[in-house]
Amino acid sequence: MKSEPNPNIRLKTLGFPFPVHVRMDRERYPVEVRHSGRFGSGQQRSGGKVISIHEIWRIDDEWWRQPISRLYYQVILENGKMMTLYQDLTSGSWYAQ
Amino acid sequence: MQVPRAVSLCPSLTLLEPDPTHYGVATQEVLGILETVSPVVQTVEQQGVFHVGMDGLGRLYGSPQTQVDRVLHTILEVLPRSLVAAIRVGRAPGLFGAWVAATSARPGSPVLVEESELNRFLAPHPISVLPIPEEMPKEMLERLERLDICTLGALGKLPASDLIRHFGSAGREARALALGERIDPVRPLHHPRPIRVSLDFPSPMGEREALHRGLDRLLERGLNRPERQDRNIRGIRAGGYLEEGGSWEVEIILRKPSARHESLAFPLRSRVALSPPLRSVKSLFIEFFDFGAPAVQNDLFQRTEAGGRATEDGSLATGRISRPLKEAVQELTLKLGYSPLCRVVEVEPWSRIPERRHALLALEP
Repeated sequence: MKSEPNPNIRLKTLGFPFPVHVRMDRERYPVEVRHSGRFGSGQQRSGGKVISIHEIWRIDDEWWRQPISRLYYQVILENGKMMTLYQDLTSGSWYAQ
Repeated sequence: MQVPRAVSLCPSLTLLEPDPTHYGVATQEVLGILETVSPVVQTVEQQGVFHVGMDGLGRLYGSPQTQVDRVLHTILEVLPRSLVAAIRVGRAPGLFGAWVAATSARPGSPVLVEESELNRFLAPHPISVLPIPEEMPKEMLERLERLDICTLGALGKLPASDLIRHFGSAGREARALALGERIDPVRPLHHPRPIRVSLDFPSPMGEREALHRGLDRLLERGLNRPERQDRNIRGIRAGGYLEEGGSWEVEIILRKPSARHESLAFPLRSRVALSPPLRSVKSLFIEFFDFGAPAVQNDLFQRTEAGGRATEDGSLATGRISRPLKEAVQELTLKLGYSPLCRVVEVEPWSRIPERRHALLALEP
């Protein structure tokens, strides 16, 4: 889905996550990232094999309304680029941010 | 070495002023003569380094040693024998290997490295020989040296994944160079087509002010020519036809290429003041014959003017915007019907959810 600038919207989100396909190993760590084909404008489109996981952290928030639970991974891909991924723990889906 | 330190170490030192015009002319002469040996030659600007691609020329020139002799013999046509005798020559696969070979050679004793020996040849050399340009941050070399990884051999033994994790793609490139795995070919020299503009005076002009005004006008016309394609100007030739016959010509090579009128006009005027035309000038011309990288519009986002970001007083939509940026946005808004430029504003900077911290606000000056 191509994202065109909408002249009627003056405020746009920055760093909005976009869905990716992630292959995991037996311990459920990401080993490969592939794009699902849906991007917003200007979003990073690199993908490939994960050669190293740099950092892992978790965010749990807003349990009082729509719970947000994410497990973040900062990974280094085989092309040398760094990428921030997270798995939505409520739905199991993967996103890049 | 800094000049004060050099003078303190050697009080009888003779200091020579840099002469970029002379270096530029000499470089072009050497490149021109080297192109008679190989169609693929390249130079490292202002460093006196020349690369000659010899791939596929073995049957024409013979063994590697004979090839080197041929190159040196050819340079004798434009440089004096004493200077050619001081040239250090290295022959190896790829730009980096040849550069390391040349830096380790002595004048008169070329270092020749075959492809099968490249890895072994590079291993004992210090990592400081790695190229420093933007792809190789200097901090990387400092960090490696602090970890006692001082040679290309030691660097090559490190796992690629570790280097990528610490230094990104620069780490991978450095390892490939250190192991002799990355072979960069010599790139053929590109001869840009010069841009020439001229001006005929109704009557011969002898006044310096009139000459300067003419040069200014020609500079402006030259800079506005579409074939410049936003490139910066490095070399300018100016001249004209003189009254009662004959011509006059001056040439400047800028140390820092530029596309700003003032940056070009000042050195050109200085050069003209040193070598003015002997008689009145009937017509003037300016020729841009050497170019740098495309010009960048640095003045759009001036750091002194909040860089297009929100100001501290919270006036998100009306923070100070530099005049050139404001004009650019107004023109784009007129053309597109909306402002395609945005500024980053804080929404919930304390939020743990990354996409809620900042947003883009359409820039509407």
